[in-house]
Amino acid sequence: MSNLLEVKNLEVSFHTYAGEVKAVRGVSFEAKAGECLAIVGESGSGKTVTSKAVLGLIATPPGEVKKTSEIIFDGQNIMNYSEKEWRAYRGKDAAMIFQDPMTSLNPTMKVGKQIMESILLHSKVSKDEAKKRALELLKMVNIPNPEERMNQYPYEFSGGMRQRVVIAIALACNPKLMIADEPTTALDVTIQAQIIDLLKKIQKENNTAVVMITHDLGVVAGMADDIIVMYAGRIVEKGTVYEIFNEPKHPYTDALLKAVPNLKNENKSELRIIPGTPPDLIAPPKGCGFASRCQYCMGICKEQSPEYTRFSGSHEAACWLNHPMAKEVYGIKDIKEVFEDGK
Amino acid sequence: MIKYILKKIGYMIVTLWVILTITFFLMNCIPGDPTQDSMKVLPEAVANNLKARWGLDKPLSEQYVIYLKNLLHGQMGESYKTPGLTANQIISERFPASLQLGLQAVAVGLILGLILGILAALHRGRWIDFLTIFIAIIGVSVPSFVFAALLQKYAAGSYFPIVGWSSKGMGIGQIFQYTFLPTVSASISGIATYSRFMRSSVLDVLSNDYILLAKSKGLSNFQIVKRHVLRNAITPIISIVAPQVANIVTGSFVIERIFSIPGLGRYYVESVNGRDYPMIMATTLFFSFIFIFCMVLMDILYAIVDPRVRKSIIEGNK
Repeated sequence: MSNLLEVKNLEVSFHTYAGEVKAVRGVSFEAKAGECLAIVGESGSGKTVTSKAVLGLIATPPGEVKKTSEIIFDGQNIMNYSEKEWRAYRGKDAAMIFQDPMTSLNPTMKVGKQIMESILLHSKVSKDEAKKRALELLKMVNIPNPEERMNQYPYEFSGGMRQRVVIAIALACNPKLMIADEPTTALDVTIQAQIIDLLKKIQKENNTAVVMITHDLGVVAGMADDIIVMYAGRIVEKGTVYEIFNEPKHPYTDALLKAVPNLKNENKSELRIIPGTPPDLIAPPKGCGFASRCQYCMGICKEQSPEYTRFSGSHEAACWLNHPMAKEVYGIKDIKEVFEDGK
Repeated sequence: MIKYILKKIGYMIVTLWVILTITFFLMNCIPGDPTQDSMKVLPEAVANNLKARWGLDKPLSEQYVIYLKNLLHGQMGESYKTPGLTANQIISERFPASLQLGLQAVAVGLILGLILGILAALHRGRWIDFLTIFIAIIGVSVPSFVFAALLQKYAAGSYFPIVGWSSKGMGIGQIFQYTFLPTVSASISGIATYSRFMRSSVLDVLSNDYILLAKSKGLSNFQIVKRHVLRNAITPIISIVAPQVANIVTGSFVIERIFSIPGLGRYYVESVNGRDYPMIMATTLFFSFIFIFCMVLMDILYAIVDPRVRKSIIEGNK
């Protein structure tokens, strides 16, 4: 299947008083129709900035998307779009679901109107038709009594319901690409599951490409086809769900997976954490961004940024441990042995 | 909603009674009495006659009861300083000019202030933002009579007369001509205040996620401001505007003096100076009434603008 979205060498900076914060430093990935791509990483790793850049939502100034970046949507480099073309693309071709449903709806506008707004904007339909479509959307996202709910304000909805409304807004024009920025973070666990099921259903029914940004690996395992792991503005590893969960090739991915609490573990072991903090992106490190926190850090890691090593058509990682020389020195066949060792 | 408004009116009457009572007794605590004047000393017999005529020879409690009784009949008494004219007559004669000036000034202040505030917020850090901040600082820190005097100096001999006010029978052009300068000088502090508050309010709203969502829908900046920013940003402004409106429509002593406007403003000061008891009571009550009225209006406006407030009002009366 061809790629709906191709991001090539995306670089985004923010100009602050303290200096230029290089939030995203050369990120490339693809998203296919009908598939779900998950971007995982800790806070500040550049996930949200990446997704906002895809929708052209980076405020400039202080933000800046570097000229050399390419975002190709449906064969068109949208980086060259005029503001008018961007507006036609937003909401119609690509839509976004935001993290906090409590703040992402306008408190003084009726919910129905907020859904109808983008329908009326992008398709030439009458108000009545838009209303019908909005009702359908509310039904589709499982909101009971949609007729009555249409005329209510966001404060009359619970958090889960609001997130459904936000999803309905995103779905309004049947976008080909849906970006969900931590859609379940602000919700409680039972609601989370419902929202994930809803997103899965939509993805299948509409053949939508979903880019899911999250730091919840549980959500990723259940929904994603491919995973990108981001750290300090870079992709450190990417692969299919199976590859990332079963054969991680980067110490950061490995540490993330080990940090997930294990309910089956009965002997009350301590939670595994990743000590330290991410680097300052005003002055990003010369070498690997993770070097200072990596328990397998070698001399070269601090000197030179690692290149991507390819393991399969879909799987690649940026870590010096995958270099033939490192393997020779450690006397290993695969990085897996290092992780199992725990050192 | 009607029940809510009735309740508010009930509170308003109680508040007015409290203000009236306090003012009445405070006023009588001022040393001296209306028969004393710094310029000339009245013979004792004349002073006593006057006191008897005004009912000041009776005990204070009796005076209070008589005043309340008259007030219930709508009579606020004859002014001591302008015999023959009742306080009612003075207010009904003088208020229209003050009201007109006040409303014009508020309208100009709101329109310019809000536009400047919105533009400043949208173009934060650009020249329009600095201009707004500059106007805000100047407008707040320089008193209105300085502007009034400057306007008079530079407008003298031009199309706009530097004194006088519109009167009955004038066409719209003439009204504009006569009211322009006073309106401008009275509206400057409003422009400054509203633009400053609107700027921060809009900035506050712009940082919300729902603005980003609106943008991700593909709306243009103008549509976002019109549909999503304005209504949400205006709420905090309402609570600032309401008391200011009360202040400005009841007359400004300084502006009315400078432009010779037949307004109510001077009576607030002169009645106290001259110990004109009925006028002190009348101006205080009138001002309080307008003030409370504006506050009720503010509550109603809140309910119109913000559905959450509407709901709490409706629920509170179930």
